[in-house]
Formats: sequence, structure tokens, C-alpha cells
Amino acid sequence: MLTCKEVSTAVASEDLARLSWQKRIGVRLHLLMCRHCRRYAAQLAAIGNAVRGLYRSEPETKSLEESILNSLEKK
Amino acid sequence: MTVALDDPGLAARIRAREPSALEAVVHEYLPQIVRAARGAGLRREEAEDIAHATFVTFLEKADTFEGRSHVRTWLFGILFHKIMEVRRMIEREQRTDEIDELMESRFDANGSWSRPPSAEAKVFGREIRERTAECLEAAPPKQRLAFVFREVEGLETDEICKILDVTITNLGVMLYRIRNRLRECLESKGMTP
Repeated sequence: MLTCKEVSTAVASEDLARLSWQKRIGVRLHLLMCRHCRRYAAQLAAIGNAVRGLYRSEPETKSLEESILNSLEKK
Repeated sequence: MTVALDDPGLAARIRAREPSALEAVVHEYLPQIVRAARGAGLRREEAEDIAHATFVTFLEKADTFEGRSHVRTWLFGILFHKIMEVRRMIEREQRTDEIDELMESRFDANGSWSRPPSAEAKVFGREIRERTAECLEAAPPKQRLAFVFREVEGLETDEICKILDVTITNLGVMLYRIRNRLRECLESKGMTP
């Protein structure tokens, strides 16, 4: 049985070191059973959404593009 | 003339500094470069200046582009180094981060939550975005970039590792730290996402 600490670490670091499939299933099961870890995971997901919301719009870069192309031409 | 960015001959055309290829690259990636620079914490004018400098370096080094990595990976890599220069934050491999200790204090000896995530005062939408922006201010630029590449640009982990020149384990640690940093910061403001 995985601990809350192990599960929250796996969630926040996205298992980037590649967990074994046993551990991956362990994380899922733990989340089903533990409301604290479920809340934690939902909060991290909400933070991701908030950051996407912050930078969602493509910046307006038309005039910058022209000035960059100008200086590249001169090189 | 337009240039397809998936053109297998693109690397050769970039090396030859073909104007149409360079124009296509600038047009396609400039908005992403500016957005990533903003995400790393640069002000609007700073972000535009650094985007400009990124493409100048791109042109200067065009003849060394072998096409082994994606043009975007290469551009983001140049951008990353420029931001680190500007911020003079060639962060030494940080062994410890205050967030690590804070996280330790949240669990008991058995690894169960001793202070579970707070459930009070749920906030949404604009409110949460504004508070998150404030909390991001305090985060180190490299962590912010890792986070923005992952969450906003949706890049695969392999590409982010190449851009930031870190191992997959390092990237996991950076994402772990910034996510917890943001979560703790929001919770300390009484905001629970």
C-alpha cells in the first residue's frame, strides 16, 4: 500500500522517472480511497488550468515580427 | 512563397539562410517564444527584446543547425539560455528548496497527511488566475519555464528535458517543486483552487 506522501509526490512530479505499472495502479487505487490525496490532485489540476488561463491568448506580435525580419535581413 | 515547417529539407534551407525559410520560422514560433518568455516572468518589453535576440542568435547559428532536433526545441533552448543570462540565474543545481522541507512537514512518520490540503474557500476563474499569477512571481525562472512548457505549451517531457538540458528526474523534481510551491502559496492566501 502506497503512502499519501508517495502518491502526492508521484502526482506532482508526473511519474517522470517512469513508475512500474504496479506502482501506477497503486497510485490510482490510493486516489480512489483517499479523499485528501484526491483533493490534492484536483488542486494541482486546477492550478494547471489557472496557468493555462493566464497565458491562453496568443500575444500580438505582428509589428515585432516585422522588426525582427528587418534585422535578420541586414545580417 | 510559403515554407512547410514539416518539410524534410527545412534544416538545409535554414542552414542556407534562405529568407523564406527564416520568415516561416519567425512567423510560426514568435508568438510561442514571447509567451514562454512572459511565462518565465519577463515583462512585456523584456519578453519582446529577448524574443528578438533569440531570432538573431538563431540566424547567427543557422549554419550549425543539423535538424536532429525540432526547430522549436532549438529555439526554446536559445530562449532559455538568454533568459538565464538576463536573470543572472544560472541556478546551481539546487539540492534543496524550501518547498521540500515544507512538504516534509505535511506528512507524519508513516507518510500520511498530518496537515491535509485545505478545503476551505474554493475560488474559481479570474480570482484564482490572479492569485496564481502573484504566486508565480516568487518562483525561480527555470521552474516556471518547465511548468509553462508542460502546462501551457503542452510539450512532451523529452522535449522539455532537451530544451532545459536536464534529466527526466530533474524535470520531475522541478515540476514537483513549482506545483507544491503554487499550491502552498494559494493555500496560505486562504485560496483553495
